[in-house]
Amino acid sequence: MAKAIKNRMKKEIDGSNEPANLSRREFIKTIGIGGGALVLLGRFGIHAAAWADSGNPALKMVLVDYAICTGCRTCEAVCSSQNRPVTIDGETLPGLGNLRYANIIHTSARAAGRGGVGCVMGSKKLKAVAVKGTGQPGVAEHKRFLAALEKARSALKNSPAQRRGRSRGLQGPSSQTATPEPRRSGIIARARSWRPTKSAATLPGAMSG
Amino acid sequence: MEADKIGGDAARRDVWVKDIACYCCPLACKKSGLTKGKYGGIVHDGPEYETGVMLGSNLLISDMPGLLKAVYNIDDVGLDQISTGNVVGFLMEAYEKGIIDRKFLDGIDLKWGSVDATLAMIEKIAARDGVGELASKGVRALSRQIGQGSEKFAIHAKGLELAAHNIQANPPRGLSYATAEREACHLNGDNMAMQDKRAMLDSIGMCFFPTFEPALEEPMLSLLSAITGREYDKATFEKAGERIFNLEKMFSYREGFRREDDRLPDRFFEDAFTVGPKKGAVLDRDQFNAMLTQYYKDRGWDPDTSKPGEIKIKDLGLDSI
Repeated sequence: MAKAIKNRMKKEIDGSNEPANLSRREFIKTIGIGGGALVLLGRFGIHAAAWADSGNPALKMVLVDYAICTGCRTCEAVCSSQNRPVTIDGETLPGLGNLRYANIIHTSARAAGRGGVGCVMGSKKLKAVAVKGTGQPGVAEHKRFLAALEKARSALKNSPAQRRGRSRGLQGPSSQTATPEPRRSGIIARARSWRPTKSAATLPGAMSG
Repeated sequence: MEADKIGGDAARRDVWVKDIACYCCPLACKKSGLTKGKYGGIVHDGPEYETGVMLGSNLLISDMPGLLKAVYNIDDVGLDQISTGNVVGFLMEAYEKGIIDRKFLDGIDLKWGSVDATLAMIEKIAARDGVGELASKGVRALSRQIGQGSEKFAIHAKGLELAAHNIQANPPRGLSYATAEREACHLNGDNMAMQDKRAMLDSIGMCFFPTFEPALEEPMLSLLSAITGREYDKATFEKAGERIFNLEKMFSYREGFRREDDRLPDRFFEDAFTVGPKKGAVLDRDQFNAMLTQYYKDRGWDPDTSKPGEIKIKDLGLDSI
């Protein structure tokens, strides 16, 4: 998969079909000096960066900064929309705005259709909501809110059922039985030992799509 | 057992790398991991119960990386896991029974347990390509088009595919499937009170998973009061939920939904469990109809039409609508 991506990158960058030997660090360097534009999509809400040629507005690569990633998967939506273009009335539409589905994800896999948000967004043809800024909405009684929040957190943290959920996920009866510790060798161990850093360039798996 | 290969224990042992939580949530229900082999890669979704069953057991897929690849791809293209699993299962059954052939499926050899065929069908549905155009509309549309008795195994209520809870041995859940306003919704719970509560939880945007914890009820009400500035106790919370559920019903009734629409697939009344502690269990039609009548009465709705009654509407303050 990684090799295929590198080859694709090479082809995209210089039109060559030769296999590329780009490391991610080199790729990011290439972006910086190659006339491309690094477009930040916002540190809050959308934690991804997209690369676009200065003369070509189509998105070509999406980088994910896992140090601040909350798993919203916007990067994947962007990548999918680019790599799966849709033709409408004979016109092929690249980039955002061409998705044939309405899908609002606010964590790695959690659909926010609850409360009718997805339904309303779909009916109004609203594709996305972008939030910029550092503020947050207020509450009517802040002290009471914080006290209740702590109480709720303690209730969850100390609940045997929820502890089981944390340990085993939400996977039905079989998850309630004791299991050995997860394997910690090879690729699993390496991934497990990974810790967030501030540089996207050093992170594993910075590609998506 | 084959199911053990795709269960929670196997996922924890062979796949899991780290938990992912929504911001500040101590539950951290999302399980990210890695799989190897032909379908290997990063996964972000467990599997959960619904995804594991609908794409796994339901399709006779016991290959964990293959299952997780299907789950990942469905998330990727924004389809619903439950409905997609149902649609692919329906097509597999129709293909097995000879009701549809390979040509109908655009050349896909959609046999039970085939990961490749499932992945291909997911692509077709997402792109609405070929057979995917019809399949994207769900099992009701498929069965109406295909006919030949396929309605018998089109598992839906009012057009929405059922989740991974067989109801032959669980009549209350069956009743809730039939009466849920957004069709066969497994998030509606098993009784009236739960339907109301879930309606309110939906409206305040609260995740369901932590609400299974009884100790959270009081702090949740305090949180709601502190955020909104309006005092909510258990009674006002439940009343608000009931109001929402009735408002939804009023909308549905206006759009033409009646008692005869609150029905379940025949399979649950005809095909009994063949294994397990509930072996032989099957829903009884008379009992189900009696439960439905009682449900409408308890709701304050007309048992014949399911129309919300004037007294109930007035009691909930909805009489101006």
